[in-house]
Amino acid sequence: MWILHFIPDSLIQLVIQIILAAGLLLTVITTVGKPLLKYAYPPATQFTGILQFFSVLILIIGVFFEGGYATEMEWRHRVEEVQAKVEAAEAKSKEASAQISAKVVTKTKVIHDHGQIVRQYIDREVTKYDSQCVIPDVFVKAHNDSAEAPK
Amino acid sequence: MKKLLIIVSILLMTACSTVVPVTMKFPDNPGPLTMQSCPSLQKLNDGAKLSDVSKTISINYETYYECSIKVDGWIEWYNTQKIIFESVK
Repeated sequence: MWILHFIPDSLIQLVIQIILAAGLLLTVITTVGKPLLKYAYPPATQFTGILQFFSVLILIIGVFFEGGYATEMEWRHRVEEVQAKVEAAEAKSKEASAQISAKVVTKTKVIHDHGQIVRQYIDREVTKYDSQCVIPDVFVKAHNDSAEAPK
Repeated sequence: MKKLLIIVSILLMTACSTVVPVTMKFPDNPGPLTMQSCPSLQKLNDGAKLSDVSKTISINYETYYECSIKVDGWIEWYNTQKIIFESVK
């Protein structure tokens, strides 16, 4: 009901209720009051058919608008509900990402620090055996081939 | 006739439903560290000493663990985001 988006809700509701009430009132008057009018003012009976037709038409229009308005309001309510859910989920998602990010940073730092300690140990202890142990070229080749990413 | 057309047009326009798009923003990545690709492993130079071999192996292990943390981070991120996304339905 895009046309209704440009008009304030309260005004729409008021207009619809007026149309509905007018349609209902006129329909009752033209239906119930028809025999009374016949006695009170006989020449007016020739217009009662047309009056009744328009009364029913107004009532139908009123009911149609009322139904449309109710549906529109229900949809708006649902959209608001879903929007609120989405916003809550987005906040939760952001928080989860931040938590995972913090965890990754912490773990990476731990691994890096551990690596530093190991390399300090190598510098301190393993270097003592550098002269005693000759690394053959085949070992270097085997290592480098293993380290090479497959293409 | 003109009036009838106006009334019918308004009625038809009123009956048109408006589609309101409610979309969820794509979730943020789990930090800049996870957006870096895993580096290549280090190789030994010719004539490498025992300490060089040890250091290279240590660095390569470190690289592997750093990379595995990224992958684990992405797995956790996916599982968490999936639960959150499915909770919106």
